[in-house]
Amino acid sequence: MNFLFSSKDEFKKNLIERVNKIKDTIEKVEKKYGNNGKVLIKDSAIIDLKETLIWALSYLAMLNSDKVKEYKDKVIEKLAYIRENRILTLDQYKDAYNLLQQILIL
Amino acid sequence: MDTNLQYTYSIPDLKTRFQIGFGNIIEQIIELLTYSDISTDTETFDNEELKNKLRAAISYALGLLASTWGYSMSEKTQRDVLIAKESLKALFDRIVKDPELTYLDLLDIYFELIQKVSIILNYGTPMPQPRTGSYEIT
Repeated sequence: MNFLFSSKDEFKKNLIERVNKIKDTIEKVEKKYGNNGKVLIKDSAIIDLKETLIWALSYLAMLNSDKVKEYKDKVIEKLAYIRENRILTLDQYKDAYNLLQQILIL
Repeated sequence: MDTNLQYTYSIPDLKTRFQIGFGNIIEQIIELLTYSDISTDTETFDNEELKNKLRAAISYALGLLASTWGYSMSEKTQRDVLIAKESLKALFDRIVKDPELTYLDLLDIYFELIQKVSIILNYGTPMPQPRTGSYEIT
């Protein structure tokens, strides 16, 4: 394992892969249960989301934007909620995915 | 008498080594932050392993910062480097001295550390092409 901490591009590349994995999870759940926002998501899908949010936080720390503080607070709020509840509805999961997408285009 | 001297600029290598060391430990910290398990965010977060890794990451960041002295930089940047050094030391002290740190506090320290290191990476401009080889003293 040799992760050269070099630039925000390195983090972005890594983050994009993880966000795509979250998208795949959403598509799989929707395929199985339809567009039912109340379906509960837990276990490894939650761990994936938590890890992706922490990568997003890392990426945010490397950005030079006046929106960093706002998005940092949003990410930390999601992480705190996940740590408390450990289960999300599909709607909440999609909401977190949308937040990740917004961070990628900052 | 041997008049052939070997010389090498090793600073870029040193910087890269610290970058790799820092990157590797950051991956480990992300893993710990992901899998750490505690029911509330207000109670003290007693995860010595995470704190140790954060301290190690700060040490790598200090090494990275020190390696920037091998690069040419303006007086202002030199002052910034010294300020960065003090703020990294303050982060380190906070982990060591504050026994009441919560998970969210550690997330905050982690965020601040990444912010500082991403700035440190821009300090100084590389010297002319690193050179290796020998030359003859006449």
